[in-house]
Amino acid sequence: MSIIPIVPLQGSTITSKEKISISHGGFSMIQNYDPRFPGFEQRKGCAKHHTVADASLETMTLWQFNKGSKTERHLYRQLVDGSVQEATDNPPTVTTGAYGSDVLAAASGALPAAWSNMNDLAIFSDGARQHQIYGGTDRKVGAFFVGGIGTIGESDGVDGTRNVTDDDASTTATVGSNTLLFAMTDLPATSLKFTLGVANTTTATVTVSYWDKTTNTWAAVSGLADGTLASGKTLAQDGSMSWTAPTNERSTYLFGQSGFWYKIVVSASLSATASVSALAFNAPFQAIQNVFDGVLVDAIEAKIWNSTQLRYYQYAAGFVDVSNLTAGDYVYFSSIEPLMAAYIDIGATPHIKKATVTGSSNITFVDGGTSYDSIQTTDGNFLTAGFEEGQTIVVTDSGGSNDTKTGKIVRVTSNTITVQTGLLVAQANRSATITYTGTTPILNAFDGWTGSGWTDCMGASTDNTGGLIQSGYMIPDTILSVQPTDFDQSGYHAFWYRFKFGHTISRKVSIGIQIIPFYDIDDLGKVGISNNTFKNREFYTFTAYPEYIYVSASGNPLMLNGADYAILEAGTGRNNRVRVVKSFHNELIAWQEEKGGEGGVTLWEGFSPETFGKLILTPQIGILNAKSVAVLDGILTSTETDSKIKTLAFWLSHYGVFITDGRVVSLASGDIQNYFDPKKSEYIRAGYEDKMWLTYDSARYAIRMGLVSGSSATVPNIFPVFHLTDGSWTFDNLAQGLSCLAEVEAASGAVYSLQYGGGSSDGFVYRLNTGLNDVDTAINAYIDHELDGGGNYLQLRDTVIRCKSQAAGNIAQSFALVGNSTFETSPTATLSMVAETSGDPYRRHRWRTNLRSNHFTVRYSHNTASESSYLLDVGYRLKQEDNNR
Amino acid sequence: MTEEVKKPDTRRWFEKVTPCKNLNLEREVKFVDLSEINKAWGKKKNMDIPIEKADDEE
Repeated sequence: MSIIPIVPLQGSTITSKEKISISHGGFSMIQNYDPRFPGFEQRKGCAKHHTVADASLETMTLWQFNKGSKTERHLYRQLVDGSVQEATDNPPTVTTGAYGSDVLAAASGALPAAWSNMNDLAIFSDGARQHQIYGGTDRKVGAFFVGGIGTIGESDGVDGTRNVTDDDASTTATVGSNTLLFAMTDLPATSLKFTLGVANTTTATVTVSYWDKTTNTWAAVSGLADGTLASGKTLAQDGSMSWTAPTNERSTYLFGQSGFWYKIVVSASLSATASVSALAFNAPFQAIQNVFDGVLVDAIEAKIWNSTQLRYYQYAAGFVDVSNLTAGDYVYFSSIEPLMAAYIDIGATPHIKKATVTGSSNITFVDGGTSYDSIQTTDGNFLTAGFEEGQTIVVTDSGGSNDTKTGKIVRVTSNTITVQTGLLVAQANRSATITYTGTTPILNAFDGWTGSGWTDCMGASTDNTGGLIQSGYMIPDTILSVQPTDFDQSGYHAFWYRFKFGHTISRKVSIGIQIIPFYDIDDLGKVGISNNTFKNREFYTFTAYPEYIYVSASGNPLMLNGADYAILEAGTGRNNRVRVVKSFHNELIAWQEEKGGEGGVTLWEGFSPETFGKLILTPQIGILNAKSVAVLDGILTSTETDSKIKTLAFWLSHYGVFITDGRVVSLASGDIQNYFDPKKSEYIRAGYEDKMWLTYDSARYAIRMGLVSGSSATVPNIFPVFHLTDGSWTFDNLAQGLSCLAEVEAASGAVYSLQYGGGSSDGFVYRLNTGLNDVDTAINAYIDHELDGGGNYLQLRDTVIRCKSQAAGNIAQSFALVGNSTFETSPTATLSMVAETSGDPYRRHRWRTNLRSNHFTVRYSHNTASESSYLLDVGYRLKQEDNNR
Repeated sequence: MTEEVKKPDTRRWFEKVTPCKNLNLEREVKFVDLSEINKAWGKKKNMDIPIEKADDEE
């Protein structure tokens, strides 16, 4: 018998060509086999993650929230009704019963969601509601202060933050002998979890307040339950103070930190040694807010209304001369944003409330005769004491000639006060006292412009400057209806505020005005589309201005303001939605959805608003949805002359599967391009773009995808697999159609990385790449090997196959001729995979085929439950026919 | 009063698109035959299955 060269099995499925156009030795189908370079091994099966389905709903996306700072995992699935559930059990534990419980309610029109993790915060965007954020379980507070009063510009209080966040039970924050505690969280909280160092022994209860945006001050939470209360004593045991999430909460700025602050007022002083060793918070998924970045913003400019002269004086906001401001005069100032508070910086020129000097036998009174009289000192301290022209002073000099004289300062220098003529009697070297007692200006009004008039927003504690005696904040009540205006024909629109005092300000006072703005996230949009974390920033897109990407300040995903915040515009000017933003090596790529035949892929380099640089990779090719992209590092690619390790992004478009290396966009789906050819019946279905997916499967080192193919399918029905080792294609035929796939870190077991898939229409989530069956169904694996005579007739005399030995099972071999899809009933072969001699790792078969055709399709198939198969190599004795007519 | 103060930039926080520098990165654009595109992974060879010549050609 002649020797047949055995050839290792390798290759790629080509569906875009006619069978007889596939080169000799190629494959028209490799189904449910993974290439092993060489060889083909039957793919693994899948198993249900939970035993009870949820209303047969499609699982649109799966995502594991996995914290970096501690071991904490949450597996979420987004259902087609928009609801999001958290798995009861972390993989690979199988749940008896339903998958889990809702963490987000159903939302109409939800898109496949974008998920990301920044600073151990989960961020979720689904196109049906505001971006959602979640901090997981027992997230550490951002700050904890004991004492203080709880006002913007707070100066008191003891910082206990480090001691309650350092994971060291031996270091504690003493809260004893205090009645006020302040905690800051980076998200709105609904509970604070206390771990105590020393329990309180004083009978006392607490009230908890949050910062209310409608009043711009504290408001008591509702539904407070104090889990630390024991025998009538708060903070007497470890536990949580929890409450109902307020609807009007917003961040504020206390103790020099911007965040969500809570004030805990204890009804009686805590026992002296009481202490807290750890403080964490909890909150459910909630809409993002915009938190002030902590850097005060200069007001634009200011105007002084002189009520006597009836005119405005205009100033830059950094220097506003309020000297001699009288009771009827207003200070107006403008701001680009509505304000939460205004910081009034009086610098070195405070209002003078009192000035006094007492001499030590060195005050001399000079009678100027018909000229001004004067008071002289050798201390040179009249100016530093606060004496100014125009002040009415009182001289007291017990036993002297000028005791209890009241006069008015005409001029003042460091050593001479000049007063009116005839006031003083000449007398030298006295220990007299000269005193000026002024007024304390009381803030009389604080208004904001609300469209057609000024609206009072002066609160009970608005003025914290003490009447311009010191720098401080003015904290008005919020005016949510504040409107921009072109005030006094300023030439621009901005938000204007004004204030005035009920008394005259002293004559040399100038102030600077800065503001803490109030940023309303709804100004960006109310519905979030996508998100991504990149270089310690969070990137958001919204339905409003959908081509814009909003970039948070570094380090805080909720700070979308200030100099460190940016807006990037994707594409070339079209308003196509940005559906996906992904980190790509040291860069960022945004994909816009295809509309009217155009999409767009844009790349940015840089790490800050000053350094961002933009490159449009393609204005044409776009993406289908947020679950249609995979970015992979370390892909070995090669050309005929070169090999390179690259970062590559793969994504699904209407026009194919595309790849970019960050410079060039290429098509990867040439071999299966029939699915992206509108002339073909199997063309991916329009209107079902959000059903399709493309995801990396690390266990198979492959890009897997689900396509809705044909004119009637409503869920993915074609599952191509792109193998990264050699760029070959195979197809999965899944007994349980999948709508998404996610990599999951195992919570137990010896395998670190697991793959989970969401059922397309059965309400189940599956563990993939496990077992020999698709749940209970056999995996129908086969390869169709194309042998072509190039138009000449061939004799297929013998075939040889080697496979890996199995405990049981057969390979079925059959043949189709001249490109037919129907296989001949004879000859066929059933080839056992069982070792010929027990212990043999491989099994070989050779048999006489005796077929004649100009093209053969040779099928090797295995379709038996609970068995696997591994094809290694094949050989054919092929001979050209002598008579080739 | 400076010109800048007279005409302040009053675009609000959600309106100021960040100016980006243009990345003039080197690009090489090639138009290639679709069948050749997978060269990114090297030229995939079909299995080299020999065919014996017909006897009359020998």
